[in-house]
Amino acid sequence: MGICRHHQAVHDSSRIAKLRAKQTVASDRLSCTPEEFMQMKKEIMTVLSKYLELDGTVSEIRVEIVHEIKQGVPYVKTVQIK
Amino acid sequence: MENEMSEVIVVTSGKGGVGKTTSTANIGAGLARMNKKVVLVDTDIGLRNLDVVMGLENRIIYNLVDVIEGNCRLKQALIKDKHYPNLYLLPSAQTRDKSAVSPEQMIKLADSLKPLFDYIIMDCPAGIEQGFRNAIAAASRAIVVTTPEVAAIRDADRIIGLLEAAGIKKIDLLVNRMRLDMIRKGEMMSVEDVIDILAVDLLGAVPDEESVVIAANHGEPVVGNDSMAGIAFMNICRRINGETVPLAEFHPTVSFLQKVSSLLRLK
Repeated sequence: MGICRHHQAVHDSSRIAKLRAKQTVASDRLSCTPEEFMQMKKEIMTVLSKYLELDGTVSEIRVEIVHEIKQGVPYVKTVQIK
Repeated sequence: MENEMSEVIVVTSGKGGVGKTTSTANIGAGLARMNKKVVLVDTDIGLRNLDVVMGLENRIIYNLVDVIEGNCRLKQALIKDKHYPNLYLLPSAQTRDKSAVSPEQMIKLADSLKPLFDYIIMDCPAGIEQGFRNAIAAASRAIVVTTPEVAAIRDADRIIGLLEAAGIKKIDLLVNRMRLDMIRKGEMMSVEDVIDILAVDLLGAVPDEESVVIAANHGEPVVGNDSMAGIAFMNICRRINGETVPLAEFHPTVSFLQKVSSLLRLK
């Protein structure tokens, strides 16, 4: 693990790829542009930090948007925010 | 006579070139090695290629469209594999296009194959148009093939959404073309990274190996030889068949000796 971390300091294209994949997948699911998605992330974080104590330990916030379509089968979109 | 355990599985990806057809051929061969009766259906009408990957391109007389249009009987179009007597191919038509077949006709075709086979595996064309809709029409289960690349993952996510909307309950992910050396250097997403992004179960990961290309050159599967890719496909087949094969590591079948040698190579 130590070796991996050291390598990542120099080579981190996998980290960039993961970030880009996450962003495109999220904006596809919500059918908004990556810019709009980033803006939404920022705004949600601002709202949350207004009411919750968000120190650096929060690693992930999941938002589920539930639509009721097709014979009552719930259609769920899950979006990771942070 | 109804075959109770017969299952229709579609192998799909959205993006082209991620290894759907090669995966289909190897999954077919692997399940046949487990003594299952398997038929692989090439649903890519107009761009036939599963026959070439399996090395059966010279044996085609009738095809899928001939069966659907009633130009031949089903059994006349089924081609027996070179190695496995319980593995068959139903080839696609090369001179027709996707509109030659409808989803309803595919369901009828699958129903006529069910009494004869344990597994009916549909090799889906790239894209999300009619060819995709034909391929998934009869499936109760899907294997989504992706590679650790942004574009392939994005398309896989889209496909997963479409499969869910089509009511396919069981959707599993096959991550193809993993390069351990690049993952180790941080230059390629790991299997964990990929499943972190796509919310589906992992069926298995296949390393990017020369053995796969060499086998395909010969029109042979890698399943059955002792390459890492061959073993990975065999494990995938065991999981399809309901066996529990640990997924703990990227490559669960890496031997202790291989681990030591890869550690040494890291230096």
